[in-house]
Amino acid sequence: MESLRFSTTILRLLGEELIPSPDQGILELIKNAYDADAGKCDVELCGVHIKGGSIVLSDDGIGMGPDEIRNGWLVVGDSLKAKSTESPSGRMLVGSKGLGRLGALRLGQTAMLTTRPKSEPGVQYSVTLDWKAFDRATVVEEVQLNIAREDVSDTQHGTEITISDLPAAWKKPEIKRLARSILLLRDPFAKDATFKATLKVSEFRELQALAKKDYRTEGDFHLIATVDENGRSSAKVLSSGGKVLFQGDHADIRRGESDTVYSCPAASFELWEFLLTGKDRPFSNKRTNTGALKAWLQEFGGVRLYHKGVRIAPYGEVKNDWLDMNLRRAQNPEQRPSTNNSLGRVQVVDPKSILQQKTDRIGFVESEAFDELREFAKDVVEWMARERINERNQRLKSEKEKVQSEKPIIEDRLNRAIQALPEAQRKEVASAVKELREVHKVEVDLKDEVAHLYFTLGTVGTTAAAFAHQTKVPIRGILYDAKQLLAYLGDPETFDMFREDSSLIAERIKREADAIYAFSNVTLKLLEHEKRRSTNYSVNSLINETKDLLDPYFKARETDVVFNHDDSNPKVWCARAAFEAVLTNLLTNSLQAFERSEGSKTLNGPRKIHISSRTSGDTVVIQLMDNGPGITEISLDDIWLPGKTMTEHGTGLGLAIVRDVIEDMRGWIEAEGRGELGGATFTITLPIRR
Amino acid sequence: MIATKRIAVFEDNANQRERYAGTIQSLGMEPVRVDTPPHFSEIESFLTENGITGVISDHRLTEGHYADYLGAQLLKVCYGLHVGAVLLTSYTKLDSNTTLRIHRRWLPCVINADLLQDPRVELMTALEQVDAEVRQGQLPKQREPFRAVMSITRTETVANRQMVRVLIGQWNPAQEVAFPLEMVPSELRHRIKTDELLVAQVNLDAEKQEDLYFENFELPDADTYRESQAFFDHP
Repeated sequence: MESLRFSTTILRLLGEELIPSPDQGILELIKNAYDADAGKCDVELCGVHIKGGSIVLSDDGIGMGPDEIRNGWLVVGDSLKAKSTESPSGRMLVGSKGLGRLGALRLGQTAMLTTRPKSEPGVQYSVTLDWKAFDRATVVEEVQLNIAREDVSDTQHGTEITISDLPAAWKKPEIKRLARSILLLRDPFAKDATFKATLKVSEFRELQALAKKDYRTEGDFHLIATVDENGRSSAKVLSSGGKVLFQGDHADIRRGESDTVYSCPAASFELWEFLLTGKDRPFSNKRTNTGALKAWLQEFGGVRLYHKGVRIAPYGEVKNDWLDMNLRRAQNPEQRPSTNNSLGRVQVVDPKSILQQKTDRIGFVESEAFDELREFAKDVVEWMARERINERNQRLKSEKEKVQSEKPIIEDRLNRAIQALPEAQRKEVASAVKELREVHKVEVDLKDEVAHLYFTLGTVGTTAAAFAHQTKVPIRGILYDAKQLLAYLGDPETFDMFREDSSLIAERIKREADAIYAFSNVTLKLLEHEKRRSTNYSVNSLINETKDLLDPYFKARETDVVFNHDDSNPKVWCARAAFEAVLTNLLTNSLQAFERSEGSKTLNGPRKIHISSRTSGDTVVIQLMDNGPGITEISLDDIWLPGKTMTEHGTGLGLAIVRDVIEDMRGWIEAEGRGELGGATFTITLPIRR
Repeated sequence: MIATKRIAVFEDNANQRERYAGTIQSLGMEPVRVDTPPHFSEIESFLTENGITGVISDHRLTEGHYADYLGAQLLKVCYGLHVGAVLLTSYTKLDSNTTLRIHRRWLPCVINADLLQDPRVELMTALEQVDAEVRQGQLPKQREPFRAVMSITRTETVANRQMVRVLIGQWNPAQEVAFPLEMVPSELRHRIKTDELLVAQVNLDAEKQEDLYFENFELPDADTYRESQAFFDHP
């Protein structure tokens, strides 16, 4: 009988290639100790700062007898663990295949196993792997191994592995990385003390001390979310004091796809976020030293993934933003967590082992289950951001309303207090109060002006982005003509032909230059300084002026704009720039929506925008509707959020500006995805100034 | 000598239309300014009835409510009718990854209007090249398709469109290329995930990534998968 034999080269390659870094190999041995029901696993580094050092791992697990060594520990690519899912004490096994162990054992020139099985007190077994012997041999089977038995006085069961004669010195960063990996292998903040892995070096002790500081209770937001066995999710966000701020069910989190569930194993996700910038801290009232907190977050920040109780790298490592938190944070920095200001953990028990680790033990195999798990965590972070943005908007709105309602009461109290004063003082105080009011008004006006400037700049930006093509086309045309002319001038034969066309080309250049002039005028007119002063304005005039201002764009996009005005000529209190910002953004949105029509399927005949104004009691209602494709790909609640856009060149600022300006004018705005003309409809209600 | 004598100009901007027509005329060909473009379903009859033998078109024809289709869609129809067509347009990276990429196989020549240096010379060369491809079946080297294995680096949503980003080892293992997910047959879409491999016909001799086209997507067989996986792990 013959059998297939394996070259020792294969053995070396398996060991080197399967475990990409030393710490990953040692973690595999620690996982073996965990699977052997150990309560602790100590790792000692002896003389590793120079070549030839050794690593000693010792645990108090159940140890191994000769059969387990022979049929498990010495079998590469298989293990006894692969045949069961739980350890004798009921732990879910976390190691697999035995390949990780091989990689770790090959870190040195020799590896010695010494083990005292729990089932045979006072007996010790040992076996030594001399890798040089394997290197000398042609096939693996040539090297004979001997499992030695020895009676010992020590009855404490457990296993010790000594990896000796390391081929290279370990540098400080490598040791620190190993310390961090071992500390984070199990959640360092969990109360569970059934297993403790320790690296006996100062770097580990320092990290351990840092972890003990556990600043999580200082977090401004604590997100707790779960997805159950049926794929349904729920989440809540607590304040630093433990008060429930937001609560959401599956439909809130899944948003838009509430009928579908997450096809992943049951999991929990917790995230603690710290507001480090000092701004916008609605719920926080206590504060640790920010420097200390940042140092702590630098070590432990990011969202780690724990599978069956042990950490799966590289999720949550520095530069591994597997939930895209940093990317999304760019949209609303104050309302979203990043890997620098938060820490979290996703915990999956996964008794059926649906999630499979890659062979090199770095990450999970990309499967539908893993994608869905990640989607769940990302959706939850997104849900929290939405809730916080809504909360912030509501808060600002109610603060504004509160100030408005309290103002007359305070003024009345002040007036009564002044009246109650003796006459001489009354005049003096009244005069001082008058002066103070005037100064205050100037201050408020200046702030309003600055705010309007920002709204205008935002509007100019959105308009410029939307119509960049309109300006670019004529410029491109002029350049084309210039190049054509230069080519003609350099070629006497075609020069005569050019001479006949010269007046035609000059006319064309003039037309193009006129178009550029008209477009650039829109921007300049939007920025006119006096438009930022608030006063009473006729709504109809404002609409007509804005319509005229944007006329070059309507013509360029072949759009017919009709305005049906209210005859009573209602007036509103506002800055012209503010009103223009509202209308310009809404009209720009309509024009961009028309451009989204690709092919014939969404074209609704000639392009139309209808604007109307009508009075209703003490308010004026302004309506804009178009016959574009409507609002279809985004929820009507989300269109107001900064950064949300349906268009390729959109900034996502337009409607956020619109809503803010309308609220400043003490009005409100509503949107309809498909209105009377087939496209989007916006209805603005503003108080009339009599 | 090319056979394209009557060249139709599809361009939403009237000045630009006039400009291209002037250049065509100066090249000794007859321009046909398309002031009112036909509906998408009537392109074929329009070209036939007007004896059109070549086309120059902008890409964004929907702008200004000019046509109900994009230039790339028009060129695809032209290709099927063996009418040589040049896309002369100012496009963004997103255009090249999306609306142009989808039809790129049927766009024998795309000229970036912003980079035109000598319009007469470049347009003449382009018309000759497209004529050779669509009428005589002579694909230039940079348009020849080869079976290529690609590794999916990520998927993402850009401007509400699902995009796939890949590395093509046989083209440039260091440069990502993007295309819309909708190009992949629906039955294969569940396999479009980071680190998965995909096979397609790709013009591997294209110099620039915007000139790459993809067609005939399929999943790799076991051998291809194993060999390519090793390559992408250790390029």
